[in-house]
Amino acid sequence: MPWGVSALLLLSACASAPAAAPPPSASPFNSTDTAWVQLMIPMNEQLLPALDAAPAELREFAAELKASHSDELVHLRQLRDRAGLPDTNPHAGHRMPGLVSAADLLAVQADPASLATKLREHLDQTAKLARSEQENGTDAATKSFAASVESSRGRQLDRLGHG
Amino acid sequence: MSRKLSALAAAAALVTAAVAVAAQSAQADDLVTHHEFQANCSVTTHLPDDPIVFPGLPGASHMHTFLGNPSTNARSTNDSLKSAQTNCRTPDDKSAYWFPSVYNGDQIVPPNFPQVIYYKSGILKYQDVVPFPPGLRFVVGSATATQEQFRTSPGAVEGWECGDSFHNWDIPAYCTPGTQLNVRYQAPSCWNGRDLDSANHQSHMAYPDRATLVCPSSHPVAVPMIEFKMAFPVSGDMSRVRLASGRGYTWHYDFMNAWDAPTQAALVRHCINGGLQCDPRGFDLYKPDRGAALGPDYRLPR
Repeated sequence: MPWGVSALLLLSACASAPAAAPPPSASPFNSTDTAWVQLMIPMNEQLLPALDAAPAELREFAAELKASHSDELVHLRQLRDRAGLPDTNPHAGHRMPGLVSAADLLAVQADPASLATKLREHLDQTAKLARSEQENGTDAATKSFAASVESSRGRQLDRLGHG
Repeated sequence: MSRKLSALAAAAALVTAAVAVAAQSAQADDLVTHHEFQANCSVTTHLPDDPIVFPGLPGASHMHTFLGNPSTNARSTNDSLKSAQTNCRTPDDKSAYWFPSVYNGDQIVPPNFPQVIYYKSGILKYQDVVPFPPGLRFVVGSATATQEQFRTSPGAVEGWECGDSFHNWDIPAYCTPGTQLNVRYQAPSCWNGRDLDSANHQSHMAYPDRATLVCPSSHPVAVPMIEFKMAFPVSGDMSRVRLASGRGYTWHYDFMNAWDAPTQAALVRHCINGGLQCDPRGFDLYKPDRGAALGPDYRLPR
């Protein structure tokens, strides 16, 4: 059975060289870098409309966050373009920690006092993601931007904690 | 049974019948109706992780329900899986299996008994199926599929089912209380023979031609066709039931092969190439004379 034989040859040839395929070899971005950039964009984008619903005691902080998150988005979109990624959202409609879904947004708009909890979850989760990107990413600029995001999140969480 | 599978079974039976006539040696109970074995694996945990799509980035995915190897997380590699354990009935299957969690409102609905993952032949010539290469991984279906894409996908079997309701291309709005919500979906089973993964985690794999059940020349190596058959204990009003990835038609799943290679090879040879309907020990209840691929402990004799 020549079929089976050639398949076996292929198998044994491959067994010793398990290559984790993804990005083209010339790219400095590995899968962690691209995953982080493609996640952080909807993370930040989808928080913005929730910030507009901030209750009085959070209004000043929400306005600062809106400005700094928007600045981060400029950087993130530059990284996305440099990595050659499409501007589609791989997380559209998904339910995941720290991401303000359409349902979450409606809930915050109906009960602005719930924003603080959602905000803490978002800041916590994006801090963790920024740490993982620094540990497992390869693109130097992406990692250094992740470091700045992580330190911003630390300050923002302090700020939120103090009301 | 899907039309595709009925056609496959009928065609395979014809082939077998022709061989039997030619050889004048086969008996009636040698009629080949199946070419498969099962992995039976239970839920381990739920995590917002995906080691194929978002490697090294815990929390970067929608929520997934994991089966089999309890070590599976965002940092899993072939080596880490192989050195861990499994709750699959066949203990040398350290593979990772996962899918988007099913929610009822805010509650995850985990399957509540060991689930069936078939390893079948996706091609007509089931004798030509070879085991998965070590470290192969892929994603089946799409988290961003439209309803039409889900319905017409070559992986579609019967869509979502509950009770007497079949061929639903989204989660049904109502299921008879006490029934379970089921989904079956088939994976591509033709490998390009070169890449263990690809940028979209799919293009190194392909489905066989639907009419001829032959692998395309771009993906010439026929590997087992995985078919997830998952059951979720949720019924009655289903209006709040959804996937972590969205509507029912965004159903998809992931597989990282971490079998002990000789064990998988024995099951493929005995059950798929041998034309049997095997349990996780490689034993066909209807053809007990054919024996089992594995020993009483579900492992290769060592």
